[in-house]
Amino acid sequence: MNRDETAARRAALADALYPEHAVAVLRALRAGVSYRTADGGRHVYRVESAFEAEDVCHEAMAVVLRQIGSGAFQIDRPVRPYLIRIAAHLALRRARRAHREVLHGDAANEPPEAGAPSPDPAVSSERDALVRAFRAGLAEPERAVLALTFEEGESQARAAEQLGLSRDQVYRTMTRIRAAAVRFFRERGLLDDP
Amino acid sequence: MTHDAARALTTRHFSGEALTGLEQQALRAHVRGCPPCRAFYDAAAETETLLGPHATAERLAREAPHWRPARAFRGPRRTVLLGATGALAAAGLAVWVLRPAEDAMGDGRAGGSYVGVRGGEVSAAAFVSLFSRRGGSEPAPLGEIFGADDDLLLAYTNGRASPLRYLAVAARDADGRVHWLWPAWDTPEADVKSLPVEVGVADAPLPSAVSLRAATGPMEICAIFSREALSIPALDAGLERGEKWPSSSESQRVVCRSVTVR
Repeated sequence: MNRDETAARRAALADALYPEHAVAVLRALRAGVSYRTADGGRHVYRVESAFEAEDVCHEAMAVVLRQIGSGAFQIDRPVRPYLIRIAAHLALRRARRAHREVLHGDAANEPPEAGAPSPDPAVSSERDALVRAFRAGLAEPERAVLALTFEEGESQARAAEQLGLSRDQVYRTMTRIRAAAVRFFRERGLLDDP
Repeated sequence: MTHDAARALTTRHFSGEALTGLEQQALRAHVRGCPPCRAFYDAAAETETLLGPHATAERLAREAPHWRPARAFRGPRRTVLLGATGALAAAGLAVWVLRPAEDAMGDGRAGGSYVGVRGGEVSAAAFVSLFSRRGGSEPAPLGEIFGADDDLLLAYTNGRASPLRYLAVAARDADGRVHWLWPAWDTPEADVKSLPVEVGVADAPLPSAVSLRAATGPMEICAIFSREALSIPALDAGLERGEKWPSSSESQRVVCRSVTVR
C-alpha cells in the first residue's frame, strides 16, 4: 500500500469513528466497565450520567484520532474493541480521581444498557405511545428522514441519495425533527423547561 | 456561565443547532461542575434516544470537529493565522492587546516569541485582544478608558508553535473585586477550570460579551494561557485575598493590561 492509500484509509477510518462506534462506546460505558481489584475480584463500574459517558467517549475518540493521525494506530486492527478499552480506562481513571465508589457489583450482574426500555411495563408503554404520537405528527418526508438517519444510521449523504433530496435538505430536516422533538417531549413532561 | 445560559445552550444543542466550538467547550465545562445542569443535560440525552438509536451518534459526530486533534491530520493551520493577520493588516486595524507583564524566561529569550506575529511568520504568539461595546453599537478596540456600563468582548490569538492549550481571563477592579471573563465563572461551588483554546488561530472571538459592573478607577485585566487546565476557584481565592497575579513560567503565560473604568 503506498503512502496516499494509507493516508486515505486513515482519513476514512477517522471519519467513520463517530458514526460507526460512538453509540457502542456509550453503551459499553453505561452498561458497565469491568475491572479487577488487587484481591483478584472482578467488578463492574457503570457510568451513570449520559453527559459523563459522552465526555469520556469524546476523550477516547480524541486519543484514537490522534493515534490514527500520527500513524501509531495500525489501521488493519479492529478499532471498536480498542476504543472501548481506552474509554473504559478513562472512565475508571476519572472515577478514581473523583474518589467515587468504583465498586458497583459483580460483573455477572450486568446492568441494563443505556437507552434500553424501562423495565417497568407501564412506563415503557407510555414512552412508546409518546414516541408513536411524535412520529405520527411528522410530515411524510420528515418521517422518512428520521427512519433512515436516526433509526437506521444512514449518513446524511446516503439518506439524501435514497430520498432524492440534497444533503442540505436532509440536514435541515434532521434539525427540524430535533427541535420538534424537544418541544414535543417538553410539553409532555419528559424534559424540563430550560 | 450561569445555569440559565447552560440550560439554554443545552436546549439549542439537542435541538440540532450548531454551537460554536467555544460554546460547546463552555457548556461542557459548566455541566461538568454543576450537578443540576448535568441532570438537565442527562434528561435531554435520554430523551434523544427516543428519536432512534443513531440520533446520539449523529449529534456527537456534529460535535466532533471541535474535539478532534485536527492539526495531527490536516497539518498546520498556517493559512488561518496568516489570513487573519493579513486581513487585520489590510484593514489597518490597530488592536490593543494584552501583552506579557514580564519576561517569562528572565533572560529575554521567550518574551518576544509570545507577543506577536512578525513579518508574516507564524510564531508562538499567545495574547488576548480586548474590545468594548456601548449599547447596541459595534465593538471597538478597547482604549485606555473603559465605560462602567460598556460590555467587554475578547478574542484570542494562539500561534501554531504555542505550547499553551488553556485560557482564563479575569479583571480586578479598583475595589479589589475579581471578575471572571473567561470562563465567565460566577458559581462558587462549581470547580470550573480554564478552558481549552485552539492552536494556530488569530483573533478567535470568545463567544460572550461580559457586562462587568466594575468599580470606577484603575482596573487590571489579565489573561492566563497555560499548558494544563487551571482551577478557577483556586485562582480566584488568591486574587480575592489581594495576592499578585500568577507569574509567567515554563507552563503558563500571564499577559496583563491596565485600563481606567469611568
